[in-house]
Amino acid sequence: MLRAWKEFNSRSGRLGLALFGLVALVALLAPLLAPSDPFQQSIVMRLKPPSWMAGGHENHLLGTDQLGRDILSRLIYGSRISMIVGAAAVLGAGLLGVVLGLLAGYFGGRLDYVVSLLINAAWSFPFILLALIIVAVLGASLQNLIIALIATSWAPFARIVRGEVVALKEREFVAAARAVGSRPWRVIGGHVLPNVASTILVIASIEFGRAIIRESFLSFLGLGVPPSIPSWGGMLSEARPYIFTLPLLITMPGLLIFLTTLSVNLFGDGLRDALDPRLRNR
Amino acid sequence: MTNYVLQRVVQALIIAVLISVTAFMLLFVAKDPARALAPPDASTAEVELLRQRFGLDRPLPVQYLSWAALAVRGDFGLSLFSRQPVTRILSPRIVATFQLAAFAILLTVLVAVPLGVVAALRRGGAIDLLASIIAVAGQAMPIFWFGLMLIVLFSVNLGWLPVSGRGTFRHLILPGITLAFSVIPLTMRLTRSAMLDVINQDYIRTATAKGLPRTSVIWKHSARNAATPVVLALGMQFGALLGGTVVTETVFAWPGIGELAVSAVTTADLPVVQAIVLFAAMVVVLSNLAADVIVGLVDPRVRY
Amino acid sequence: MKKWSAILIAVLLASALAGRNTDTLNVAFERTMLTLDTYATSERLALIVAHNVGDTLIHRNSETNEFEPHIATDWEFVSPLELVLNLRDDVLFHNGELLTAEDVAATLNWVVGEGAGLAGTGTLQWIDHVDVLGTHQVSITAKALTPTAIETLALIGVIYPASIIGREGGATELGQHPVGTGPYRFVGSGNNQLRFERFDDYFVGAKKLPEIEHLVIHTLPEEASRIASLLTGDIDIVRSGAISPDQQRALGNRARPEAADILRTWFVQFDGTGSSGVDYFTDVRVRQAVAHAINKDEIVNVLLSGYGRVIHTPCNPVQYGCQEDAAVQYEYNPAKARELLTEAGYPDGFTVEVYGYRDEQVVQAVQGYLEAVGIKTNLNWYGGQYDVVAQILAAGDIPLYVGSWGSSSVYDASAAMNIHLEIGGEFTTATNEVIDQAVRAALQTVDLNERLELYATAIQESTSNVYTFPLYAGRVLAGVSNEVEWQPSPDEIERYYLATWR
Repeated sequence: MLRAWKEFNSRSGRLGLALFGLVALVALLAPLLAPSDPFQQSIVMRLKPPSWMAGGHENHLLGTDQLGRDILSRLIYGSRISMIVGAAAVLGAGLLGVVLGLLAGYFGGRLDYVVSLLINAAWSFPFILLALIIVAVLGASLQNLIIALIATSWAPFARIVRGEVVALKEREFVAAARAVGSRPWRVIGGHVLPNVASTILVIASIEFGRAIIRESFLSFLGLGVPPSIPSWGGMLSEARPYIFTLPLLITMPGLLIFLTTLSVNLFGDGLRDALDPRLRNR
Repeated sequence: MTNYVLQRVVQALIIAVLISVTAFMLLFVAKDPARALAPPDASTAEVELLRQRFGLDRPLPVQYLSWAALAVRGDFGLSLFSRQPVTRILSPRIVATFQLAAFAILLTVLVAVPLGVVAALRRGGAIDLLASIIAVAGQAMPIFWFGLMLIVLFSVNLGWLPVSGRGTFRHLILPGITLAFSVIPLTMRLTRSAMLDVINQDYIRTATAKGLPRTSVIWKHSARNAATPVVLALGMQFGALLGGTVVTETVFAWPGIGELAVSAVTTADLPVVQAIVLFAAMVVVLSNLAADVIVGLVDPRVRY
Repeated sequence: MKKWSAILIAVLLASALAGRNTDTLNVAFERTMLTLDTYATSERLALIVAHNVGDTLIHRNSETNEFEPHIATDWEFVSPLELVLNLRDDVLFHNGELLTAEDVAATLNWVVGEGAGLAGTGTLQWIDHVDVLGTHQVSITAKALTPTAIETLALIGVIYPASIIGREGGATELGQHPVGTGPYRFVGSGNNQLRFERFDDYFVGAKKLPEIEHLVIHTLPEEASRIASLLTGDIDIVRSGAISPDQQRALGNRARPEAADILRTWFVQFDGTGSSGVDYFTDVRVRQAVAHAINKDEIVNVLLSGYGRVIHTPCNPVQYGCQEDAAVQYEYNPAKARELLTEAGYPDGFTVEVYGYRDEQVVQAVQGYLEAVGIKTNLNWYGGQYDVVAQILAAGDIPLYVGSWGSSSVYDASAAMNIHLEIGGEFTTATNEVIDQAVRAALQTVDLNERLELYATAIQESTSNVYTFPLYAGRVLAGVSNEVEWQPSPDEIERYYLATWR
C-alpha cells in the first residue's frame, strides 16, 4: 500500500488529487467562502445575469437563480452535497460490498453462492429503476438519496473483492496462516484485507464519481434532494429549460460536476497505474 | 461448457424471481396503486372500489403468484392505468429501445475499440492522450446535459438533425451518440489495458524479436486475445446502457421502454413496471451470458 | 462557405415549412398516453384527444360559458330527475355508422355500469340509467338532483359507437383506436405520435370543420426539447402548461406565448385539526399570520411573470357562486404576521414540515416568505407523485401543504371547496358546521339565488377562519408557432380543430 503510494507519481493522478482536495476544501469552508446565504430568496432579484453582464447586480457575481438566490453561494454550498453524497455512498456501499465480498470469497460454499447470486441480481437490476422505486418509497431527501445510491453501488465492490479474495486464498501466506489455525477474522484482517485495500480504493474512486453523476440523474427525474437544498445535480436539472435564455445557469453546475468527477477519475487512474504491477517498471 | 451454460441459465431464473419479487414488494410499500389510479378527488370508498375491482386488495403473495403464473406463460396482464395488455404496450417500445441500444453499441465498437488499440500501441502518444480525455469526459458528464448540448448545437443552431422522435436514420444519430457516450469510456479503457497485456506477453515479444513485422504480429496474435475482455466488457455494459436509455429516451422523446419506465413508476402501474424490470434484468443477465459464451467460442483457452 | 450557408438556410427553411407544406399541425404533449379512452383514465391528455376525435351531446362554449346544442339539438328536464334530449339525425361516426339514440344509451349505460369505478367516469356517476325513447331521442335518469348534470355531460360525455362499446373488450379497443364523430379522425399511432386526419363528413354542430387537414400529436417529455422543436419548426404548438412562463423569452421570433386563464387554483392548506400531530395551525392567529406573510402579488407578477391571477376566494372567481366580495382579504404585511405569531405564543416562530409535489418554485417561494417571519420549514418533496401525497393527505399527516386543485373542470364553486371540507371526505383539514351545511344545501338546490347566498356564507366563513389560504388562479402558457393562429382554452380542453395557418 505504502509502496503503491510512492509509485503514485503520474502527473494526471496528482492533478486529480489536487483538484479533488480543492473541492473538498471549498466544501469544508463553504460558510466562509460563500458571499451570501444560499437559501436567502429575493423574488424581485430573480434570474439576474452575472455581475459583469448587462442587467447584472454587483452583489451577485454569478447572478441569481429562479428564486433570486445567489448562484455563487449555492454552487459553493452545492460542493458539500456532492461531497457528502459521494463519500456517504462510497463508504456505505464500500462497507457493505467489501464485507460481503470478503466473507463470500473467504468462506466459499453456500454463503458464496448466495452472495454471488445477490451480486448478480443487484448487477442486473437497472440502477435507475431501483433508485426510482426507492426514492418513490421513501420520498426525496438527502438521506434517502444516499440509501438509493448505496443499494445500487455495492455490487462492484463485492464482486471485485470476492474475486481477489478467491485468488488470494490459494497464495502461500494466506494458506499458511489458515493452516496454522489462525481464526478466520484474523486471517482476513491481517492478510487478506491489506492485499485488497488498493483495489478497493480504485473502485471507490470510480464509484465516488458515479454517485455524483447519479445524483444529477435522479434530480433530472425530479427525485433528487428536495429543490430548496443547493445541489449541483438539482441546479443542473432545474436549469434545463433555461438553456436558451440563460445558458450560464446550466453551464456552471455542469462544469463543476464535470471537474469534480474528472478529479476522482484521474486520481483513480493514477492509482490504478501505480498499482498495476505489470506497468510499474515501465 | 454446456453444463456451465445450464448452470448460468438456472442462476438467471433465480435472479429473475428475486428481482421481480423485490420490485413487486418495493412498489407496494411505496405506492398505493388504487389511489394512483383514482381521480384526484376520489373518496376512500371509491378508491376501495377500484382496489377490489383490480384485485389489489388480495394478500401480496397471492397477487404475486397469480401474476407470476401468467407471466411464465408470457402474459403480463393488463396495464392498471390504461387497461391495455402490457405485452402490446411494450413490444413496439422494446424494438425501439433495441434499435437505439444496438446503434449505440455499434458506435461504441467503432470508436472505443480502435481508439483503445491505438492508445495501447502508441502509449503516451497523442492518440492515447485524446483517448484518455474522451474516457474521463464521458464518465464525468451527466448524459442529459450532453444530450441537450447536442440538441442546441446540431438541431437548433445548425439545423442538421431533428430534435426528437423516431422514424428515419437521422432521428437515430443524436440519441445514439448520447447513449454511446456513456459506455465508450469503460470499453475503451478495457480495450487499451487488454491490448497492453497482450503486447507485453512473451510470445509477442519473441515474435517481434524474430524479426516479424510488429503490426502483423499484433493483428495476428493479439487481436483475438484482446477481444476476450472487450466482449466481456460490452456484455457487462448492457446494464448501464439500459439505464442510460431512461434519460436519453426522455430527452429525445425516443419511444422506448426507458421513457415509459419513469411514468410507469410514477403512476404505480404495477404490471408495466414489473414487466420492464424483469425484461431489463433478463437482458443484462443474458447479455452477460452471451458474452461468456462468445468468449468461450473465440478463445479456446477459457475453460469453465 | 457561401455554399454551405446556402445549404444551411435551405435546410432550415425546409424544416421550418415542413408542417405547412404537408398541411400538418404538429402538437407537443408532455406525457405518454397509454390509452385514448378518456373513461379509463383521469389523464387530461386523453380528454383533449377525446374532444378532437369525438363529441359530447352538449357543447360548452369556452368563451361565453354557454351550453350550446351539439349532438343534442335541445334538452329539457321533464322532471327533477329526468333529462330528455333530442338528437340530430345527421351525425356520422368515423366508421360510417349513423349515430342514433342507441349509441348514446350504450355509451352512458356502459359508463355507469361496466365502466363504474374507472378513473375517468367519476363525474358521470350521477346518472342512474339512460333509456332510448326514439331513434333520435333519449332520456337520462339521475340518481339524485344534480345541478352540474349538463356541465358534466358537456365536459366528458363523449359518445362512442354502440357497435364497439357494446361488445366484449370494446373499451380497450377504443383506447388503442378511438372511433368518434369528431372533427379529426384517428388514423394511427406509433413512435410517440398520434396521427389524425380531418373528417370530411363531420356534422360540425357547435364545433368547426378543421382547416388544417392533418394533426399529429407528439410526446415530448423534456421541456428543453419542446422549446427546441418549436424553434426548429418541427412543432407548431406546445400544449398549454407544457411550457413555463420564464421560457416565453426563449421563443424568439419563431413562436409566441398564448395564454389562457384556467380553473386550477393554488393554495396553502393547513392542518387545522391537529391530526398530523402538529397543532400550530389549530390556532386561527397562526393561520392568519401565514396569510399576512405571503406576498401573492409578487408570486404572480414576478415569479410567474404575470401568468396567474391573485385570488382571495377558496375557489376560482370564474366558477359559479365564487363571489370575490364575500371573501375576507389578507394583505401582505410581515410585521403583522410576526405580531400574530407573538400573540399566539410563538414570538420566535417554529419549525414545521411542508409538503409539495409540483410547482417547486411556488412552494419554495412560500418557504422563503414564511422563513422571513420566523416560520422555518422543511420541504418534503414528492416530484410529480400526486398519489403518494394524496395518501399522506388522506391520512391527515400533513401539517402544511402547498398545492393546487383543478376542480375536475367543473365551473361551480362547490367543486373547488369540497376538497377542504368534511363533505370532501378524507382531505378534511378543518371542521366547520356552517360551511358544510351551506355547501351541502347549495348542492341540493337548483334555485340560483339561493345557491349564490349559500356560497357567499361558505366563502365568508372559510376565509375569515383561513382554513386554506388561496394564492392564485392559473394562467397557462402555450407555445404557438408564428405560422399558426390558435388559442388555448380556459377549460384546458384544447381545440386543435380551430387552428389555422397564418
